[in-house]
Amino acid sequence: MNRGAGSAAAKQDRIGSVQMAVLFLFFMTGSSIVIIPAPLTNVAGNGAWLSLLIAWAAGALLLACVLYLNRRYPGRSLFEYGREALGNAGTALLLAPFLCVMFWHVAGIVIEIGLFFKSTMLKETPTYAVNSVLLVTIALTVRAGLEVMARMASVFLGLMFGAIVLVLALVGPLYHPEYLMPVMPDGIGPILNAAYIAYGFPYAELAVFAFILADVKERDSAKIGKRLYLALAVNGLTLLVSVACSIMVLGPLSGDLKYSLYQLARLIFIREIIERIESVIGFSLIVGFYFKTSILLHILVRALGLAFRLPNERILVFPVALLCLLLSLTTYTEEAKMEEIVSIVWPLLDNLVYVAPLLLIAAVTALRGRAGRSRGRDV
Amino acid sequence: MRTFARLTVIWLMSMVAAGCWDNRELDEYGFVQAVAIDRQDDGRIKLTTHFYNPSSKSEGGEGAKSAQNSKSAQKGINIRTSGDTIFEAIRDIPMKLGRKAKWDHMRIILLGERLVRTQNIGEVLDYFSRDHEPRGTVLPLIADGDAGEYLEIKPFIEQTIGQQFKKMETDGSQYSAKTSRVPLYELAIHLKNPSRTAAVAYIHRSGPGGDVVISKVAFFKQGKLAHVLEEKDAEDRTGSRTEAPGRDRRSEAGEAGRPRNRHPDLQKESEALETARARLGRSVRPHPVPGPGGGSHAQHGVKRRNAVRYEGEEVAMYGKMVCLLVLGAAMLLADGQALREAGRRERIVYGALAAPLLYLGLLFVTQWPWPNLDALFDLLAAPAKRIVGGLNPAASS
Repeated sequence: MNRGAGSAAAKQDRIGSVQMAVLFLFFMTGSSIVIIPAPLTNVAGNGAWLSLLIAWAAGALLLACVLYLNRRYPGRSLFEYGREALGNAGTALLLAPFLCVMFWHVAGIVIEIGLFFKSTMLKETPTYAVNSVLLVTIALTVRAGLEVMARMASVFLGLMFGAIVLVLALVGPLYHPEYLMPVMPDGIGPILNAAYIAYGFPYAELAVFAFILADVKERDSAKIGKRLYLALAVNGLTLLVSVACSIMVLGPLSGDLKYSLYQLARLIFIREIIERIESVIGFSLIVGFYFKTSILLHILVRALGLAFRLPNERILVFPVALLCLLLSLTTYTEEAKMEEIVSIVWPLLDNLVYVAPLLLIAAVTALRGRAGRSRGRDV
Repeated sequence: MRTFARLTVIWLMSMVAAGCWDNRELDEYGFVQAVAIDRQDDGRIKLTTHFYNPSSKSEGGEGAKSAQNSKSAQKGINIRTSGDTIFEAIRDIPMKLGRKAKWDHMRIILLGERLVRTQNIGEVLDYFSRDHEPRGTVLPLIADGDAGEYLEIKPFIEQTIGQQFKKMETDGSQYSAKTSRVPLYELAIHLKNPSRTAAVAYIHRSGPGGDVVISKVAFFKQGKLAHVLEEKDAEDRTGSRTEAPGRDRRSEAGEAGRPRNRHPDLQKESEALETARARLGRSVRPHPVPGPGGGSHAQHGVKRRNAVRYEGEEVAMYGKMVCLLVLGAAMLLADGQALREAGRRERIVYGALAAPLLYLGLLFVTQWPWPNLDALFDLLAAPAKRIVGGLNPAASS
């Protein structure tokens, strides 16, 4: 285990573009599939799927921006883009908060896992036990490296999407398509509000991929754009279907119950044979949380390595993971506060800290590019 | 040797990881089959909880008839408790039974008519819809008279009275259509729908022998029992909703509709109800407002639960410390070798991470309210709320 980390100049892992797209799909779908249907339907009612579409479109634009930077600076990461566009000091100023918030971001997903277990399956188990076991697993995964994670992802992807499809198919007898109407009884306000939530989580979060897109194998990097868009489309479709399905089963109640997909699994009852399968489903859904956190922790460690120009950043995995664990246990320990940050503060926070620097760098790059071209013509 | 050490570690970990945290065995729980909730004369809640008795397998020795009697008597045990709230009544169960009640396998909830005429059914059932053990698929039933008495009856074709009543309701509504079958989660949906009406099956005694029957439909308006539809009308109601028996899983009214868009089903529903009422020549009786009921009691329950939690605080602190030390030691053990070989920059960053680690570790173990990242994030709460208010004026009010 130590050999990879121990050798002084561990070569950076490279993965294929399909593998990167799978990781991206996992990152976007992992925790949102369980969490997002409830706040969306709570705020927007039956219009939740409309809000999801709006947020998805915003996410697609952001992805275009990330891909543009990746094209303009091939083989380099967000820090290097920044140094090129804004200089050292400007980059440090912009990206220091980025890194700080990423620490909490990892912790935030783990808090959500803890809350999920606390309120559904492991009522009596203290949160720190759940979170510790999870973060140890996550840290070991990240320590294994991006290549290993990418290979694992395809297996877990099958497990998670299998569980989602299974739930949505088995609750089939309970669907009431009439619950979907009316779509907008209270006007556009609630829809925009819910779109704000879904844009903050998960779509604005995709900005962090600007750190690792350069880790795609060179011969494969031309295709990355198309594949990431395909992944984003699959993600949008999955979320859309699960929002619509939870409305069709739970109707006006769907906004009142957290973890819609898990709640649907609890209602599955087929001839006394297939019932009480929610634990199996629940654990398959947790795979999504686990993998999303692993990807994010990998990105965080990679970003720290790039920021401090470390030749071998993998040694930082364990202390960073421990720090995230402690953050998950000491910040937002009350469920209500956590809900408030996810649906009110987080969208603003990740836009200020993740999206704004990215847009700024992209804008400067675009302007310089144009200026450079016109100067080139003059000479 | 290394392999052996690794296998030992894996074996030890799997020994610890298997099983649940609180280490309970099946025979430490009493499994609830049915529960009956009534209001006593003094206004308190009376709870009759029916437990399945798994240790009644022994047969023989005695005469056939007495064996049968004692067997059916032993199959289920009724525990009666009371309290200001359901929660309080439930807390007293272990001192009468000697086991903690486990609600996962509950079949039915019986609600005394007197209780649901004076208190909102949503408040009464709140405990069962919020707790993690009871399922949303449990069946609520409204009982004529004292609900607890129905649990004294011996099951006649099923093993326990809970299963007996459940089958009577599900099969009765499916094949005779003279009652309805609404599980708890659907009842909660109905109580939230625009018309705030819900229909629940009704259990009562009828005929000269006083046989127990599940028929008729109890109608709820704004959460209170408003009217009980007779058998014939219940059947008509099912017919008027153009549904085959057995498909009575549809909601009672326009579930997804908000007040301004009335769903066609809802219209039909209220018409059917009106016809039925006209036929009976009765109107909906208004009911007195309940006394200082559910709300404050529920809060009381929460407070008491917190008080119980508090006693475990010191144990929890010890557990946290152990957890933290184990993780920290494991980290240093894993990284020690690599750290010695690492470059200067890596060591500096590693060391720099130790400072926040120690600070947060202290906060975690002691729970001191010192500043953390969340205080920083909360600075953004005010502008974020303004944004949300701008997008959706309804949310800010």
